[in-house]
Amino acid sequence: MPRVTRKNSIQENVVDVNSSPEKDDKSNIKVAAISAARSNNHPESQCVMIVPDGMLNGNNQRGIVVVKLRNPKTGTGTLYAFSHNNTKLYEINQFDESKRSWFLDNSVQSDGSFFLTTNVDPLFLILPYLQKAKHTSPIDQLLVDEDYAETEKLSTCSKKEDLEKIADCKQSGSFQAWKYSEEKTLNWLEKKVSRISQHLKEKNFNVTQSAVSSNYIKTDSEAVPESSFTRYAFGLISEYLCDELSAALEKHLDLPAVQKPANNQDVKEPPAKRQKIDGETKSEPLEDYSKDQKPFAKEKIQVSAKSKALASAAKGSKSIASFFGKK
Amino acid sequence: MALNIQQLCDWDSDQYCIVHSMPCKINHNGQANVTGFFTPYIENKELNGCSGVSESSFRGYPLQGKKIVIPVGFKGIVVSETKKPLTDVEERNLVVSKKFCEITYWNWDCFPVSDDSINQSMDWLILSKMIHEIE
Amino acid sequence: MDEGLKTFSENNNRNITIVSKVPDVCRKEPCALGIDEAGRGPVLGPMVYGITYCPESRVEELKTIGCADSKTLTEEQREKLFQKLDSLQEFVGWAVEVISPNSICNNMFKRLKHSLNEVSHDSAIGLIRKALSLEANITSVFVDTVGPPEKYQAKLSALFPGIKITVSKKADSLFPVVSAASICAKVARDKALSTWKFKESPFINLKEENKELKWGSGYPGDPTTKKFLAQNIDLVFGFPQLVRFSWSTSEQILKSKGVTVEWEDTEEQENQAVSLKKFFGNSSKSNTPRRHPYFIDRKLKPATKLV
Repeated sequence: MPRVTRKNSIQENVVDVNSSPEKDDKSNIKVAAISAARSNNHPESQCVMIVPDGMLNGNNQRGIVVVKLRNPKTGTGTLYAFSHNNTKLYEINQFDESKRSWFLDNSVQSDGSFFLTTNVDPLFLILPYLQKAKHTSPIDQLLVDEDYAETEKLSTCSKKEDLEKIADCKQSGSFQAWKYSEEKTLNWLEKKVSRISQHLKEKNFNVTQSAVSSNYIKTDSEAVPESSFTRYAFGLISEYLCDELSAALEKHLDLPAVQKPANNQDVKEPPAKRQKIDGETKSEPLEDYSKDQKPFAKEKIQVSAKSKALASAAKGSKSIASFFGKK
Repeated sequence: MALNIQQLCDWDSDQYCIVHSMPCKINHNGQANVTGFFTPYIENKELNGCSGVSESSFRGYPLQGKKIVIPVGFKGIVVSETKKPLTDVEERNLVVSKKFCEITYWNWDCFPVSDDSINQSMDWLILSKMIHEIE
Repeated sequence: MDEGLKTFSENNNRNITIVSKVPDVCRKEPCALGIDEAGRGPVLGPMVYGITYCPESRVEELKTIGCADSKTLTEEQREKLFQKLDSLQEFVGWAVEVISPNSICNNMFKRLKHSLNEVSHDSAIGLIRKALSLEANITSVFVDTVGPPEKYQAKLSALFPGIKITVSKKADSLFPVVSAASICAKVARDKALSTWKFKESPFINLKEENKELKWGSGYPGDPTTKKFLAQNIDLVFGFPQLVRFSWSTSEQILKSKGVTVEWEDTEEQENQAVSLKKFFGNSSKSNTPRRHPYFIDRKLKPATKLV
């Protein structure tokens, strides 16, 4: 089997050209890539990603397909990736800090963002379609979205036993039809919440601070009430739920009521102040930096951001219909 | 319009890309003599008892940096597109052109701390498993 | 001094302080100390601060050996004078701080800018402290001013109570002990520059006789210096670290010929604070649901475009 070795200034790649390509167009991709590397041209566009080890496997020559699907929380299109046989689903989060660029070996990439690609439970994406369905239907009939054609691929991502966590199955012979079950769904979500909160507790994760003060002050997990971890976990899960379902889950979890700030002004002020202090202390990195932490401790923000998130979520609840309504 | 990502380079190869995340927007895509200008001046420092902190400069700006090792179970890749399609509807084909296992991220005149967003963002790789792992 | 400068040339992105032995007599008798600088204006190479001290009773002897304004002397004369000064070990002590061009830019490009005047003051103060720590009995200090003399005088007097501080313009030509310091500084700068070792690979193999490597006096007005800057520009990295990026001459060349680079600015941080304020207020008007603080902390958002 002939092997083509291509070399450029940065790295050497060995490519097996004749390894029975599945499709003609795929071998074309390879040829194009090889010639690009040879001519030492910078690619027209590129991006930096962090992906699970098993996502791309060099030996089987099969890649992943990145598509837009409807985000279950926002109802807008965001990027997901299917494994080559449409059995695994990944979500893609972009880390984006405004003033960043990459040095990649001996090249510059102006866009300094990167993409964290992680497994996502496909049930989260299937849920809204199940909830919306008027009748008990086969899964492939449910997963239809005019705006996002690839939605149908979700049907091969979840097995029967997975779907049973959120829906009731009516079966006759090989025919399976599904009906959304809120009871099952809430139990399924509750399990997830408990697993996440357990993990947060084990990691001594700081769940008592807001977005602005970040996870600076490491608190002793013994002192943090169990419910704080649960609430944080609930907040994370809610990133995958529409507002109604999130509200239902909150009720189901029976979380202690969130303390609302007595004076709204108190909530507004500290972040701005802290931001300023941040800028000043950070400007002297060579000084004893343990000092840097002191100002933050004083600025401890009393109200958790989750309480505010919930307060705002409660105010502006969007109906599921608004996600799926025709434009 | 779907976007295909394929792996081309040989993963058994031990050629890892050297990756620096720079704390500025460089308005350029293309070749740059990183090893000629930037690398020779990287110094490892012991500051405030913290090891693993590096110092360097870019265009006269003082930088402090630290390495982030990509968590076990994940890898870093650079995905490239040789030619952009002319229309939005065409299928796009990208290939994995480089891989890496660590990132040196640089702050401009800020001591790198574990709370830096880029550092913290890595824990999403682990936490997301808790949310999405299918029992 | 040569040994110290050799160390500098190996590590020319960092400052180095080179000190002579403290003469015994300088520990006992009250001493005058002069401070001067060399290479403040040039767009390339280090800036050097120098001090010289000797018993107050013997200050005039410096004059007799020819310590005058170093600017009126040729490089050769200065070198000879320095050798002479260095040989007067029984009553003259000296020290220089070689401030690397990189350290100058690093200071001027801090988040809270540290001006060249501040760098200068810091160096002068550091050298006085150094002499004191070596137990030289310094009782009076003469220094050429940087910035307004009164302010500088007040600053130094506050830092060194008990030492008589004289800050003046043209101290270099007025006080022999300052002239001597000026000679030390100038000699050190010339040597540091002539033995400059490039670490940047495109410059390593260039020979001295190479035309491209002639940088002239380093003063922004010098055509040879201008030519050097224009010919040795790298689109991304700009210049080798020999060059001070924080000088308007180099900045302008880089601006017109190089790739633009944007840094976070303090104004933007202010705006950020404002938007955070909004974010904590009533956000119900916004259409996009806010992400959980976990993701906001990590600057993570659902991707909508890969390339």
